[in-house]
Amino acid sequence: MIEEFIRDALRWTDVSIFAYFVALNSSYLVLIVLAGLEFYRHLRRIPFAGADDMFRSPLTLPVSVIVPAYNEGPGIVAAVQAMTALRYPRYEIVVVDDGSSDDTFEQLRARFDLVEVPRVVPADVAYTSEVLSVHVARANPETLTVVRKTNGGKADALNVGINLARHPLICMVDADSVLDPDALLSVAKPFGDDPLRVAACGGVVRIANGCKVIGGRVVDVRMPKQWLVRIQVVEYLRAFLMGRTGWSRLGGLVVISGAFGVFRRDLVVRVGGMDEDTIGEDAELVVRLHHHLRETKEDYRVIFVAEPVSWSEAPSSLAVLGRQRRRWHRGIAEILSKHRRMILNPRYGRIGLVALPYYVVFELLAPFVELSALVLLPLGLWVDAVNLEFAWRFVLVAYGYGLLVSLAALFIEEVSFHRYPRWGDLARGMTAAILENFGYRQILAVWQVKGAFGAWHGRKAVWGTMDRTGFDTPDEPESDLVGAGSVHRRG
Amino acid sequence: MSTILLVEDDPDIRHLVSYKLGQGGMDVIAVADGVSALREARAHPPDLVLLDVRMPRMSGIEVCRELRAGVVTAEVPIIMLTARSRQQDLEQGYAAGATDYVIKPFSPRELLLRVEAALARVHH
Amino acid sequence: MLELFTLAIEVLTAVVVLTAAGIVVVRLYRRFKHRKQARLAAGPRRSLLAFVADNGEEGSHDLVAIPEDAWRAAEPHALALLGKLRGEAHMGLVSVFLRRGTARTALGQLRSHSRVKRARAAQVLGDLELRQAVPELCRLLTDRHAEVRVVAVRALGRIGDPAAAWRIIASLDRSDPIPSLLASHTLVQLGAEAEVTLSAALDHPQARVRAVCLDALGLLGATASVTRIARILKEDAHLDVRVAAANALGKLGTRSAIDPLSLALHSSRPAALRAASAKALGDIGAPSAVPVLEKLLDDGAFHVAHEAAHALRRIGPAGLAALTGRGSNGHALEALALAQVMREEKTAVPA
Repeated sequence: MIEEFIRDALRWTDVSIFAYFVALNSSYLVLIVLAGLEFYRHLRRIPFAGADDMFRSPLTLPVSVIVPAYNEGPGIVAAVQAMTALRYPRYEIVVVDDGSSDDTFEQLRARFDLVEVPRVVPADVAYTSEVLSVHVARANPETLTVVRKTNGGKADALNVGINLARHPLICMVDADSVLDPDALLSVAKPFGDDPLRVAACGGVVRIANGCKVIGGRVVDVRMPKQWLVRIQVVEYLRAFLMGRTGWSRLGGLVVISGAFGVFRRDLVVRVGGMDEDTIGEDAELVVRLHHHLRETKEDYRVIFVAEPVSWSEAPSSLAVLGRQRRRWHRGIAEILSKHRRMILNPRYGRIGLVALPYYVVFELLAPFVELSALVLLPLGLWVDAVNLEFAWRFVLVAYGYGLLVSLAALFIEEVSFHRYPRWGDLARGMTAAILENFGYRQILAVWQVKGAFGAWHGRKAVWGTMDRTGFDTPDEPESDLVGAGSVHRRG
Repeated sequence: MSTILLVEDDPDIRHLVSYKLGQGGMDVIAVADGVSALREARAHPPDLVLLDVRMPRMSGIEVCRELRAGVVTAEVPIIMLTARSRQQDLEQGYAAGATDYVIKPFSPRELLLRVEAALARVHH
Repeated sequence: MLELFTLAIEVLTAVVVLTAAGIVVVRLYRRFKHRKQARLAAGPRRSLLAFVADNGEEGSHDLVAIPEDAWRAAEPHALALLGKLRGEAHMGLVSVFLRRGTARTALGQLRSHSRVKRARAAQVLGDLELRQAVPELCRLLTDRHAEVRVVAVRALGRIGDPAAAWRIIASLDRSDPIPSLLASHTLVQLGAEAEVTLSAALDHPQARVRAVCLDALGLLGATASVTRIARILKEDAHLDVRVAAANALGKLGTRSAIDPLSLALHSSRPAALRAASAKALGDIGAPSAVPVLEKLLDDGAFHVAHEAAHALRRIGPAGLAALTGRGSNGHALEALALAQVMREEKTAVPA
C-alpha cells in the first residue's frame, strides 16, 4: 500500500519535473525568438540611427562615468586610459578607490598627474564610509576625478561616485571592463531618443577571455582556450544577450549588469542610490526603480542595448566560478525577498505579474528542480516507479531541448552580430553547447542552491574577489593589457 | 620632399588624406593609433604630424604632449583633426602644443593648404 | 506515453541538426555575399576617393557611369564619406548622387508604406543636404511613427533651411513630440535667419516650445532677443522655462543680461533658478555681479553655493579675490583649488 503510494508520488513528481523542464526551455526559446525579432528591427535601423549626429551635437546629454575600484592596481591605468578615448561628446570619469590595499591609487596618480583638491561632497545619496581625499588630473581637472575613501564595499563606492557625479546621466562601469569605443554612445542613445521616458539602459556584457585586447580595446574576438570558459560564452549569449533583449522587448527587464549601465542621475538619487546591504546591488537598483516608478504611475522605460559594448573576464577555475555563481544566486534570492510585495501584485504591471514571478519560478527555483531531478529520477528507477525506457527518454528530451535552446541562441548570434569569425570557434561554440549538459549544469545547480541558502543567513555584502590572470594576448608583446579584476556583478 | 605622419583611425579619411597629400608631392606615412604614431615619430622624425584627436590607445592630445616633450619631435608642426562640437578638444589641443586645426567634416583642399602653410612657416 | 517521447526525441534531433546546419549555411551565405559586394565595390571606392581628393572636379562621369549593382555595393561607403567632407569635394559628391537619381528615388520613398523606408529616404536626403526636399521632409514631421519624425528633423537640420523653423516648432506642440534637445540642436543648425521665428515663438502657450526656443536662441548667439528673454526669466509661470532663459542669457553674454540675472538670485526664487542664474553670470564673466554671488556661497542649497563659487572663479581676478576672502567656505576652497590647477596647466606648456 505505502509502497504503491510512494511509487505513484515519485512517478508524478518525475513527470512534473519533466513538464517543468519543458516549460523552462520553452520560455527561453520564446525570449530568444523575441531577441531575434528585436535584433532584426535594430539592425535595419542602423543607417538612420543618428549616432554621428548625436556625437556632433553640443546638446547631447553629458555623462558621468563612475568606476568603483578595489585592488585594481594591475589594470586600472589601462582601463581609465581606454575610457578617456570613448567616442562621446562630453563626459567625465569618476574613479572611486574603495580603500584599496594595493597600488591602485599610486598607479593612477603617476599616470594622470593627479593633484589633490578640496571638494564639497553633496549628500544626495547616503553613504557609510568616509571620503579621504579628492584628486583631479592636472591636464584635465574637469574630466578625470579620483576619490579615495575608506573601504565600504562596491555599493558604497558607487554611492560616493553618484554624489560626485556632475552630469545628468550616470554610467556605472566595472574597472575590469573592456569597453568598445562606441559603448557610451550606444547605451546613452535611448536617452536622447526618448528623454522623457527612458529611466535606465543596460549594455550587454560579453566574455573577453581569449580575445585579443590592445590598448583597452577588443580588436579580435576569439573563443577562450578552456572548455569551462567556452561553455560560459554560450551561456552568456543565451541568458544575457538573448534573454535580456527578450525581456527588454517585453517591457519587463529587471536586471542591468553593473559592468555597464546608464541611469538618469535624478531618478537614482530619488530612489536613494545603491542599496549597501544587497549583494546584487546592480539588479536591486533596477527593481527598486521599477518599484518606485510604478508606484508614482510614471510612464517610463528600462531598455537593453544588444550592440556589443562591454567585455569582462570570466572565471576560468571552478573555485572562482563557484564563488561567482553563489553570489549571483544569493543576489537573486535577496532581491526577490526584499521586493516580494511586488510579486503577483497587479499594481506593478508586467514587472509584478510577469517578470518577477518568472524570476521566482524559472531562475530562483530552477537549480532546486534540477537537483531534485538528479536525485528523484534514479530513486524512481530504483523503486520501480518509472522504468528505464521512460528514464532515458526523459533525460534525452530534457537535455536535448536545452541543447536546442543554446543552438538557437548561437543561430541568432550568427545571423545578427556574428562576432566569432573563425570556423573553429563556431565548432567550439556548438560543442560547448553539448558539453554544458555533462557536469556543468549540475555543479552550477549545486552552487546556486548554496547561494540561495546563503541569502537566509547572510553576512554583509563585500567585494567579490577573483584571482588575477590577465587577458591572454600572446602575440602583442607591448600592448597595455587590461588586467582582470574582481568579478562582482549581476543578480 | 616633406614627410607627413598621418595618425587617424578612420580608414576612409586615412586613404583620402594620403591620396591628397601624395598629390601635393608629400610622402605620407599613415598609422591608425597614438602608440604606433609615437614609435614612428621617434624612429623617423617627420616634417609635420597630422593628428586625429579621438583615437584608440592614446588620445591625440596625449600624443601631442608626448611629441612636444620628446627631443627630436619638440619642434615638429602638429595639425589636429577634430569634430566641430568639441570646443574642449580645441582648447586642450592648443594647450598641449598643437600648431593648427582642421575641423571635421573637412575639405581636402583646405587640408592641403593648411599643411603647406604650416610647412612653409617652418622652412623660413 | 513512450511513443510520444520517442517522437519528441526524433523531432528534437531533427531540429537540432537543422539549426546547426542553419548556422553553417548562414555563415557560408554571408561570406559569399560579402565577398561579392567587396569585389563589386572595390573599383567604385577607388574612383570615389580619387574623385573627392581632386575636389570633385574630374571623374564625375566615370562615377555616374558605374553600373547599378556596383554602385549599390559602394553606396553606403559613399554616403559615409559625404558626412566627413566639406566644401567643393562635398558638393562634387552630391552632384554625382543627384545625377545617378538617388535623390529622386529617395523623394519617392518618403511616401512609402514602410516606416523604415521612409526614415531611410529622409536620412539620405539629409546627407545630400537637398533643399528641394524640405517641404516633403516637413510633411514627415507629423508622421505617425516617432522614429520617422526624428529622422526627418535631423535631416532638416543638416539641410539647414530656415524656412523649416516654424514647422519644427509647430511639431513640438503635440502629445508625443520630438525630443527637446534634438529640436533645439536642429533649430540652431538652421542658422541666424531662424532667429525671428524663434523669438516670436517665445510667446507660445506651450512651455516646452518656449524652453526649446530659448535653448536654440542661446546657442545661436541671438543677442537681439536679450530683452525678451530677460522678461521670460522674470515672469514665466514655468520653472523649467525660466531656467532655460537664465542659461540662454549666460550663453549670449551681453551686459544687459547682468541685472535681470542678478535679480533672479534673490532668496525668494527657487533654488534651481538661482543656481542657473549664478552659472550664467559666470558664463558672462560679470565683475559687477561679484557681491551678489559672494553672498550665495553660504546658501543652504548645494547647487546654488556650488555654482556661485565656480561662477566667481570664471569671472577672473575680481571673483578670485572674493573667493580668497572666504577661506573657510568649502565651495570657495574648491573653486580656488580648481583655478590654481588650471592656471598651472596653462603656464606649464607654452601654447
